[in-house]
Amino acid sequence: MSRFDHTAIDDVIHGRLRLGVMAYLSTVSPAPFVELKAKVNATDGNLSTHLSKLEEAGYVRIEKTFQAKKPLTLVHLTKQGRGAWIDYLNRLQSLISAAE
Amino acid sequence: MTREELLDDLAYARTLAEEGRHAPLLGGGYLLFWGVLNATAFTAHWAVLENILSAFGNAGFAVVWMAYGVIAGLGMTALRARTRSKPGLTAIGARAERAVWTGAGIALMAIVIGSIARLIITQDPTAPNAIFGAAFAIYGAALFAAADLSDHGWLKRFAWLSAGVSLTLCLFANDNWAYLYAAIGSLLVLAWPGLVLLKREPSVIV
Repeated sequence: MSRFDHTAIDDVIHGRLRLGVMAYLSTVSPAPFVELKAKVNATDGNLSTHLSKLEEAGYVRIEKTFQAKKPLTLVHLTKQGRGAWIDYLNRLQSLISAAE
Repeated sequence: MTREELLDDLAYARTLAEEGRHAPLLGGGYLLFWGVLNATAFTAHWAVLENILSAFGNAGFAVVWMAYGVIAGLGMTALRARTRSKPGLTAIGARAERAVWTGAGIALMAIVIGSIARLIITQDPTAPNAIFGAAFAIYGAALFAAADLSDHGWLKRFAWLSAGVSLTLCLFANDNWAYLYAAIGSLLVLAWPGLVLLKREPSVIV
Protein backbone atom coordinates (compact mmCIF):
# COMPACT_ATOMS: atom_id res chain seq x y z
CA MET A 1 0.00 0.00 0.00
CA SER A 2 1.24 3.49 -0.87
CA ARG A 3 2.15 5.77 2.02
CA PHE A 4 1.17 8.74 -0.14
CA ASP A 5 -1.61 10.61 1.71
CA HIS A 6 -2.89 13.63 -0.22
CA THR A 7 -5.23 14.69 2.63
CA ALA A 8 -2.18 16.10 4.44
CA ILE A 9 -1.92 18.88 1.83
CA ASP A 10 -3.29 22.38 2.51
CA ASP A 11 -6.41 22.53 0.30
CA VAL A 12 -6.52 26.32 0.35
CA ILE A 13 -3.22 26.44 -1.52
CA HIS A 14 -3.49 23.26 -3.54
CA GLY A 15 -5.75 24.34 -6.39
CA ARG A 16 -3.73 24.64 -9.59
CA LEU A 17 -4.42 28.37 -9.90
CA ARG A 18 -3.98 29.15 -6.21
CA LEU A 19 -0.74 27.19 -6.26
CA GLY A 20 0.46 29.40 -9.10
CA VAL A 21 -0.62 32.54 -7.24
CA MET A 22 1.24 31.53 -4.08
CA ALA A 23 4.35 30.50 -6.03
CA TYR A 24 4.51 33.80 -7.90
CA LEU A 25 3.79 35.88 -4.80
CA SER A 26 6.60 34.08 -2.99
CA THR A 27 9.05 36.04 -5.15
CA VAL A 28 6.96 39.03 -6.30
CA SER A 29 4.94 40.68 -3.57
CA PRO A 30 2.93 42.82 -3.87
CA ALA A 31 2.03 41.84 -7.41
CA PRO A 32 -0.43 43.92 -9.43
CA PHE A 33 -3.64 42.00 -10.21
CA VAL A 34 -3.09 42.29 -13.99
CA GLU A 35 0.46 40.95 -13.70
CA LEU A 36 -0.72 38.01 -11.60
CA LYS A 37 -3.57 37.34 -14.03
CA ALA A 38 -1.14 37.16 -16.94
CA LYS A 39 1.30 34.95 -15.05
CA VAL A 40 -1.25 32.31 -14.01
CA ASN A 41 -3.21 32.66 -17.25
CA ALA A 42 -6.58 33.30 -15.59
CA THR A 43 -9.62 35.45 -16.27
CA ASP A 44 -10.53 38.38 -14.00
CA GLY A 45 -13.44 36.52 -12.43
CA ASN A 46 -11.59 33.28 -11.93
CA LEU A 47 -8.60 34.94 -10.31
CA SER A 48 -10.84 37.08 -8.08
CA THR A 49 -12.64 33.97 -6.82
CA HIS A 50 -9.41 32.19 -5.98
CA LEU A 51 -7.89 35.28 -4.39
CA SER A 52 -10.97 35.59 -2.17
CA LYS A 53 -10.34 32.06 -0.87
CA LEU A 54 -6.71 32.87 -0.15
CA GLU A 55 -7.73 36.15 1.47
CA GLU A 56 -10.30 34.41 3.69
CA ALA A 57 -7.54 32.07 4.88
CA GLY A 58 -5.37 35.11 5.64
CA TYR A 59 -2.72 34.09 3.09
CA VAL A 60 -3.00 37.18 0.90
CA ARG A 61 -4.05 40.79 1.40
CA ILE A 62 -5.72 42.75 -1.37
CA GLU A 63 -4.95 46.46 -1.55
CA LYS A 64 -6.96 48.74 -3.81
CA THR A 65 -5.17 51.95 -4.64
CA PHE A 66 -4.65 54.48 -7.43
CA GLN A 67 -1.61 55.08 -9.61
CA ALA A 68 -1.57 58.11 -11.89
CA LYS A 69 -5.35 58.42 -11.28
CA LYS A 70 -5.92 54.83 -12.48
CA PRO A 71 -7.19 52.13 -10.13
CA LEU A 72 -4.56 49.59 -9.17
CA THR A 73 -5.15 46.35 -7.28
CA LEU A 74 -2.15 44.94 -5.48
CA VAL A 75 -1.96 41.44 -4.03
CA HIS A 76 0.32 41.01 -1.03
CA LEU A 77 1.52 37.71 0.37
CA THR A 78 0.96 37.96 4.13
CA LYS A 79 3.33 36.68 6.80
CA GLN A 80 0.81 33.93 7.52
CA GLY A 81 0.63 33.15 3.81
CA ARG A 82 4.40 32.81 3.52
CA GLY A 83 4.40 30.50 6.53
CA ALA A 84 1.61 28.40 4.99
CA TRP A 85 3.50 28.28 1.67
CA ILE A 86 6.67 27.01 3.37
CA ASP A 87 4.65 24.45 5.35
CA TYR A 88 2.95 23.36 2.14
CA LEU A 89 6.28 22.84 0.37
CA ASN A 90 7.68 20.94 3.34
CA ARG A 91 4.58 18.75 3.46
CA LEU A 92 4.83 18.01 -0.26
CA GLN A 93 8.49 17.16 0.07
CA SER A 94 7.85 14.70 2.90
CA LEU A 95 4.88 13.16 1.07
CA ILE A 96 6.91 12.63 -2.06
CA SER A 97 9.80 11.22 -0.06
CA ALA A 98 7.44 8.87 1.80
CA ALA A 99 5.94 7.66 -1.46
CA GLU A 100 9.32 6.82 -2.99
CA MET B 1 -4.09 12.58 -6.53
CA THR B 2 -1.07 10.67 -7.71
CA ARG B 3 2.59 11.30 -7.08
CA GLU B 4 3.04 12.25 -10.74
CA GLU B 5 0.26 14.86 -10.54
CA LEU B 6 1.88 16.28 -7.46
CA LEU B 7 5.28 16.46 -9.14
CA ASP B 8 3.66 18.16 -12.12
CA ASP B 9 2.06 20.76 -9.83
CA LEU B 10 5.39 21.32 -8.11
CA ALA B 11 7.10 21.87 -11.45
CA TYR B 12 4.43 24.44 -12.34
CA ALA B 13 4.89 26.24 -9.01
CA ARG B 14 8.65 26.19 -9.46
CA THR B 15 8.38 27.74 -12.93
CA LEU B 16 6.25 30.60 -11.62
CA ALA B 17 8.46 31.20 -8.59
CA GLU B 18 11.55 31.26 -10.83
CA GLU B 19 9.91 33.74 -13.19
CA GLY B 20 9.68 36.12 -10.26
CA ARG B 21 13.17 35.25 -9.02
CA HIS B 22 14.77 35.92 -12.42
CA ALA B 23 12.61 38.89 -13.42
CA PRO B 24 14.53 41.53 -15.39
CA LEU B 25 16.01 44.38 -13.37
CA LEU B 26 14.40 47.79 -13.82
CA GLY B 27 17.33 50.05 -12.95
CA GLY B 28 18.67 50.31 -16.51
CA GLY B 29 17.09 53.69 -17.17
CA TYR B 30 18.55 55.08 -13.95
CA LEU B 31 22.07 53.80 -14.69
CA LEU B 32 21.98 55.14 -18.24
CA PHE B 33 20.68 58.52 -17.08
CA TRP B 34 23.27 58.95 -14.31
CA GLY B 35 26.08 57.63 -16.49
CA VAL B 36 25.39 60.12 -19.27
CA LEU B 37 24.64 63.01 -16.88
CA ASN B 38 27.80 62.42 -14.83
CA ALA B 39 29.91 62.08 -17.97
CA THR B 40 28.52 65.36 -19.34
CA ALA B 41 29.05 67.20 -16.05
CA PHE B 42 32.60 65.87 -15.58
CA THR B 43 33.50 66.85 -19.15
CA ALA B 44 32.02 70.34 -18.65
CA HIS B 45 33.93 70.69 -15.34
CA TRP B 46 37.15 69.68 -17.10
CA ALA B 47 36.41 72.22 -19.87
CA VAL B 48 36.02 74.98 -17.26
CA LEU B 49 39.26 73.90 -15.55
CA GLU B 50 41.12 74.06 -18.87
CA ASN B 51 39.49 77.40 -19.84
CA ILE B 52 37.89 75.77 -22.84
CA LEU B 53 34.49 76.72 -21.43
CA SER B 54 35.12 80.26 -20.17
CA ALA B 55 31.81 82.01 -20.83
CA PHE B 56 30.93 82.19 -17.13
CA GLY B 57 34.42 82.82 -15.76
CA ASN B 58 34.95 81.46 -12.25
CA ALA B 59 31.21 80.95 -11.90
CA GLY B 60 31.51 78.23 -14.55
CA PHE B 61 31.80 75.47 -11.94
CA ALA B 62 28.69 76.67 -10.12
CA VAL B 63 26.76 76.86 -13.42
CA VAL B 64 27.78 73.31 -14.37
CA TRP B 65 26.84 71.78 -11.02
CA MET B 66 23.64 73.78 -10.56
CA ALA B 67 22.50 72.63 -14.02
CA TYR B 68 23.50 69.11 -12.97
CA GLY B 69 21.30 69.35 -9.87
CA VAL B 70 18.28 70.62 -11.81
CA ILE B 71 18.59 67.98 -14.55
CA ALA B 72 19.16 65.25 -11.94
CA GLY B 73 15.97 66.25 -10.10
CA LEU B 74 13.86 66.38 -13.25
CA GLY B 75 15.34 63.15 -14.58
CA MET B 76 14.70 61.23 -11.37
CA THR B 77 11.08 62.41 -11.29
CA ALA B 78 10.56 61.26 -14.89
CA LEU B 79 12.32 57.93 -14.27
CA ARG B 80 10.26 57.19 -11.17
CA ALA B 81 7.03 57.83 -13.11
CA ARG B 82 8.25 55.56 -15.92
CA THR B 83 9.30 52.68 -13.67
CA ARG B 84 6.16 52.73 -11.50
CA SER B 85 4.06 50.96 -14.13
CA LYS B 86 6.66 48.35 -15.13
CA PRO B 87 5.85 44.68 -14.55
CA GLY B 88 8.16 42.96 -12.08
CA LEU B 89 8.62 46.12 -10.02
CA THR B 90 8.19 44.18 -6.79
CA ALA B 91 10.16 41.09 -7.88
CA ILE B 92 12.75 40.12 -5.32
CA GLY B 93 15.70 41.10 -7.56
CA ALA B 94 14.23 44.48 -8.49
CA ARG B 95 13.54 45.21 -4.81
CA ALA B 96 17.09 44.26 -3.86
CA GLU B 97 18.41 46.47 -6.67
CA ARG B 98 16.36 49.45 -5.45
CA ALA B 99 17.44 48.95 -1.83
CA VAL B 100 21.12 48.68 -2.77
CA TRP B 101 21.09 51.81 -4.96
CA THR B 102 19.10 53.79 -2.40
CA GLY B 103 21.79 52.98 0.16
CA ALA B 104 24.48 53.90 -2.36
CA GLY B 105 22.69 57.20 -3.05
CA ILE B 106 22.64 58.07 0.66
CA ALA B 107 26.37 57.26 0.97
CA LEU B 108 27.16 59.40 -2.09
CA MET B 109 25.09 62.29 -0.77
CA ALA B 110 27.05 62.20 2.53
CA ILE B 111 30.37 62.29 0.65
CA VAL B 112 29.23 65.14 -1.63
CA ILE B 113 27.88 67.26 1.25
CA GLY B 114 30.99 66.62 3.36
CA SER B 115 33.34 67.52 0.50
CA ILE B 116 31.42 70.70 -0.43
CA ALA B 117 31.33 71.72 3.23
CA ARG B 118 35.11 71.25 3.36
CA LEU B 119 35.50 73.39 0.22
CA ILE B 120 33.44 76.20 1.78
CA ILE B 121 34.96 76.04 5.26
CA THR B 122 38.62 75.51 4.40
CA GLN B 123 38.57 77.19 0.94
CA ASP B 124 40.38 74.11 -0.34
CA PRO B 125 39.49 73.95 -4.06
CA THR B 126 40.63 70.34 -4.31
CA ALA B 127 38.18 69.15 -1.65
CA PRO B 128 35.46 67.99 -4.12
CA ASN B 129 38.04 65.86 -5.97
CA ALA B 130 37.69 63.35 -3.12
CA ILE B 131 34.21 62.55 -4.41
CA PHE B 132 35.43 60.68 -7.51
CA GLY B 133 37.24 57.75 -6.00
CA ALA B 134 34.65 57.20 -3.29
CA ALA B 135 31.80 57.47 -5.80
CA PHE B 136 33.21 54.82 -8.12
CA ALA B 137 33.96 52.55 -5.14
CA ILE B 138 30.32 52.89 -4.07
CA TYR B 139 29.08 52.25 -7.64
CA GLY B 140 31.19 49.11 -7.64
CA ALA B 141 29.82 47.91 -4.30
CA ALA B 142 26.24 48.61 -5.41
CA LEU B 143 26.70 46.86 -8.76
CA PHE B 144 28.25 43.85 -7.06
CA ALA B 145 25.48 43.56 -4.45
CA ALA B 146 22.72 44.08 -7.02
CA ALA B 147 24.31 41.47 -9.31
CA ASP B 148 24.55 38.92 -6.52
CA LEU B 149 21.09 39.46 -5.03
CA SER B 150 19.31 39.49 -8.37
CA ASP B 151 21.20 36.60 -10.00
CA HIS B 152 22.52 38.86 -12.78
CA GLY B 153 26.13 37.79 -12.42
CA TRP B 154 27.32 39.60 -15.56
CA LEU B 155 26.92 42.91 -13.68
CA LYS B 156 29.85 41.93 -11.46
CA ARG B 157 32.25 42.65 -14.33
CA PHE B 158 31.15 46.27 -14.19
CA ALA B 159 31.58 46.23 -10.41
CA TRP B 160 35.25 45.21 -10.83
CA LEU B 161 35.68 47.79 -13.57
CA SER B 162 34.25 50.44 -11.25
CA ALA B 163 36.65 49.40 -8.49
CA GLY B 164 39.52 49.79 -10.97
CA VAL B 165 38.36 53.26 -11.99
CA SER B 166 38.05 54.16 -8.29
CA LEU B 167 41.58 53.03 -7.57
CA THR B 168 43.12 55.14 -10.35
CA LEU B 169 40.98 58.16 -9.51
CA CYS B 170 42.16 58.02 -5.90
CA LEU B 171 45.72 58.09 -7.25
CA PHE B 172 45.23 61.01 -9.65
CA ALA B 173 42.28 62.88 -8.08
CA ASN B 174 43.86 66.35 -8.27
CA ASP B 175 44.90 66.19 -11.94
CA ASN B 176 42.63 68.01 -14.35
CA TRP B 177 42.47 65.06 -16.70
CA ALA B 178 40.95 62.96 -13.92
CA TYR B 179 37.62 64.62 -14.76
CA LEU B 180 37.79 63.33 -18.33
CA TYR B 181 38.81 59.94 -17.03
CA ALA B 182 35.83 59.96 -14.65
CA ALA B 183 33.56 60.93 -17.54
CA ILE B 184 34.71 57.89 -19.53
CA GLY B 185 34.42 55.79 -16.36
CA SER B 186 30.79 56.91 -15.91
CA LEU B 187 29.93 55.84 -19.44
CA LEU B 188 31.63 52.46 -18.98
CA VAL B 189 30.47 51.64 -15.47
CA LEU B 190 26.97 53.16 -15.39
CA ALA B 191 25.69 53.96 -18.90
CA TRP B 192 26.86 50.74 -20.56
CA PRO B 193 25.24 48.25 -18.12
CA GLY B 194 22.26 50.62 -17.98
CA LEU B 195 21.79 50.28 -21.71
CA VAL B 196 22.04 46.48 -21.49
CA LEU B 197 19.46 46.35 -18.69
CA LEU B 198 17.18 48.75 -20.55
CA LYS B 199 17.16 46.51 -23.60
CA ARG B 200 16.15 43.54 -21.42
CA GLU B 201 13.40 45.45 -19.64
CA PRO B 202 9.89 44.10 -20.21
CA SER B 203 7.46 46.58 -21.73
CA VAL B 204 4.53 44.24 -21.13
CA ILE B 205 3.90 41.25 -18.92
CA VAL B 206 5.27 38.09 -20.51
